[in-house]
Amino acid sequence: MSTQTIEIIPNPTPTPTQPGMFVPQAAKANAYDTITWHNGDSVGHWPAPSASNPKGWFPNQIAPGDTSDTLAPGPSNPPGTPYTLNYVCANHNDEKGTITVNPQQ
Amino acid sequence: MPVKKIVKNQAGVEEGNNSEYSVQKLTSVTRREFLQKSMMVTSSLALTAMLPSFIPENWATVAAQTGPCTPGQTLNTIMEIPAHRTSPTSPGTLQAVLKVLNENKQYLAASVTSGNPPVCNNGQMRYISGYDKTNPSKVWPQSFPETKGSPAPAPTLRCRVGDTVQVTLLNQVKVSDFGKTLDVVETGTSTCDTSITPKPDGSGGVNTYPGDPSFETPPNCFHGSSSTNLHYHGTHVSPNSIADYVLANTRPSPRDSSGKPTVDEAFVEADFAEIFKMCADGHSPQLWHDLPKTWQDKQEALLKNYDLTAPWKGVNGPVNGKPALPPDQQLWPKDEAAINSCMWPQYYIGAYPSCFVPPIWKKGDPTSPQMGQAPGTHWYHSHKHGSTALNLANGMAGALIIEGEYDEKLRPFFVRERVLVLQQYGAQINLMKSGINDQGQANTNIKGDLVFVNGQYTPVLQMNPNEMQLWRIVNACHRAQIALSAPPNGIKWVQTAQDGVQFDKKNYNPAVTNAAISVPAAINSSGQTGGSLAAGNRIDFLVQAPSTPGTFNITFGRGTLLFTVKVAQDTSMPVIKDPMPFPTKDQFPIIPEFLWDIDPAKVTVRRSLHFASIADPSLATPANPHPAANRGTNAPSYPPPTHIIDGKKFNNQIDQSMVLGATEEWTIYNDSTGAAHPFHIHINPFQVTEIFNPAGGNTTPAKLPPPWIWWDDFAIPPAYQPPTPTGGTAPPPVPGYFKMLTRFVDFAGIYVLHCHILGHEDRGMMQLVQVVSNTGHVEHN
Repeated sequence: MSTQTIEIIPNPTPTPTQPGMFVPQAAKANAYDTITWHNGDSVGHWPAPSASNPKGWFPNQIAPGDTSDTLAPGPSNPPGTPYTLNYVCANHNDEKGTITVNPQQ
Repeated sequence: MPVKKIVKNQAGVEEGNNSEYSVQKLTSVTRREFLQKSMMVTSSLALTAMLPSFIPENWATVAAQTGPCTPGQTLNTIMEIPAHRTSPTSPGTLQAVLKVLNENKQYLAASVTSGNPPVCNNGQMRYISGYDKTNPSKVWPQSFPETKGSPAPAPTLRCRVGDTVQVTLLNQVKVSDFGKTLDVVETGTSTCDTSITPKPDGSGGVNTYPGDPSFETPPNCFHGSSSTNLHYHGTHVSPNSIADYVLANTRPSPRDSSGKPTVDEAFVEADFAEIFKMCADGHSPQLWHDLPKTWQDKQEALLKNYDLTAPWKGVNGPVNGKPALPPDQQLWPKDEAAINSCMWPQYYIGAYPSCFVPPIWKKGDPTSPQMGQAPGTHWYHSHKHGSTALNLANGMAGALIIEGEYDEKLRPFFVRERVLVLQQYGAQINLMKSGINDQGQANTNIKGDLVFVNGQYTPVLQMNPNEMQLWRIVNACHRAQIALSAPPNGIKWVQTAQDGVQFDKKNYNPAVTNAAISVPAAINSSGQTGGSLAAGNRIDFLVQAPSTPGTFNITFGRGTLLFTVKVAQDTSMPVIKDPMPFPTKDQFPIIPEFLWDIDPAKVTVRRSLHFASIADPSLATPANPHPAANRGTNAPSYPPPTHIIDGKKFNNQIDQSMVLGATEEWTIYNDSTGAAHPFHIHINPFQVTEIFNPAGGNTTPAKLPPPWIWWDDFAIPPAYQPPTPTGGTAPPPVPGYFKMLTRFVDFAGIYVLHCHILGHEDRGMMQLVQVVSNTGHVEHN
């Protein structure tokens, strides 16, 4: 049940659909950990389970300098199986990240 | 190698684990002093003659043996910040600088998987760093490598009754390390901390805190955890301005372009020196305009800049030349309105001064307070509503030892004093963790935070054979009740004080050396209560080691290991040939007159308060009209229970108003089964005179014989749910209660009472108390 922050930083080779990037891009967590995103970029970003579902996790994008609400992954279904949450920035379709959740500690 | 046990979780499931430990070394208690003490105790000579030679708990621990997340280490001694005085009898001054900082820390936590040992977790956690202003080179915890990377209590403050306590509180939390913790929830327009549990299939998430629709209403929800203040728990001082004022709200310092906090020691030095001088001279600032003009100007500028830049929103400057915050969310206008109404303002940026003098009671002196400060084991902690639980889970609490005759009279009977601060650590509150388990039901896998002692999990406390020690135990857990098991065979203890107030010698019983400590307090064989260690309580024990070496487990609850006592001779110390005796009743300190029993005949007001935890009414069924106030297996479809007093949550209105000097009798009910809510009221302690614990088997209330024990925090016995008759419906629960006598003396003002399960307090189980002066015009034409 640790806490961790995923940073959103400017992409060193920015494109219109990927001005920023998630660090770490592939995060690991245990069930019942809590995760937030901190926007260190100069534009808004919006982590979401899919581009077509921008409000799937958070009702609003993350303003520059701000931090998201908390994402709190639980164990898998069926129990005991690791699973991966794929997510994307709803504002920038090529900004992608994953969170691999270990259901047991 | 001794075999120790560590527990899997607080339910007491144990499994074996081997670990090594080493022994503490004495440095400042000299061999000569020790020998003197031992001889004098055993020969019953003039005991007080040697008092000045004793220096309590100032010995160092050996170097760190291992890093964070390692159980069974040698117990840390928390650094002390003492008062200094020019002569042994002159009033002293304690000058502490306390900084709220943060860093990534590691700590053990119960595994969510049954049978697994504790796991090492980590996260950004706030903590209180501190140093003695007269010795700034030694900083807790940074100067102590054994604490590196681990949570730890705040430094221990130690003074005497009548000393001046001056605390410079600097809030230097790095806001960017915590999400959404500089909110404006006090306006009622913003949000609580929010947690989303993602669906593993990627289809979205579920708002499990504060729910959607929200089951919490600001300000009674988790929020604003980067703001802070300090409560001096157990002190009998003013609740106003710069004393024990818990309605202050100090935001973190802004930072310069290099990231350094701009509100630091140098920034406050001159202004706080002036404020502290006013306090020492007996006229602390009572109004904003009593503060130094330079400090007024600095705070006004900081607050206006805060409103302009809205750092909690990540805005770097004014928007089109106007404040980034809408008017109803700006802080300075609120302070300004309070100032114009001759009220003490709520908001500050970066720093806050605390200053008070624990008062001396002087018999026959018309200038004496009616109630003195009881010398004893007290504590201090952050008390910002909405974040008290998380701040304490991060470790923001420390012991406050106020010495007096009690300590002086007891000192000859023990060799070493141990300050034991019990804390539960966590980087996050449970309700913010995933709300769904494998079946989409409540997160019942999440266990309570483990209990640590002085920042360590199941540490090892060393005693010499036959040695007597004084243990000052502070339950600074944000939630856990510590029902201590009876001491293991060989270890003997006798309680000497409860909640920082010594026992009357009639309640001190050296004949009983193996008492367990229950929560709520039990009635002992003499019809009096034993002690108790609910969250917020303190207990002092004299503890006698056996004559032969050995290892002894101190446990609580259902056998959960709290710490281990290793009895082994420290070769740097003299051998004690015979067991050091407990003081006899005659030798026990006489309780000062101001702590004599409150006279029930002087009671002018009686009132009742009802604490209750209420489940979602939709859970009720005809067969079960009183569902347990437990989130159970229904989350997130159902909210967690609501915690209320007298039918409502905290609402910023005065709930209890009384006249200064009044003696009152209160009956405090617990209308709910389950939790024994610890009732705590600031400023004035109380005496418990009657207990009814139906869930504990009481069929009639127990009227306690005088002299009554003093408390400032008492676990209200829970209600009893009678069985449901066959074919019938469940009868209503039978509330538990206790009665108490108290006096609202010496200090008028506004302060709080609340449940000391601090998540309950944060979520609304709190009331405002206002003590008003009855002095006024005797004639008006």
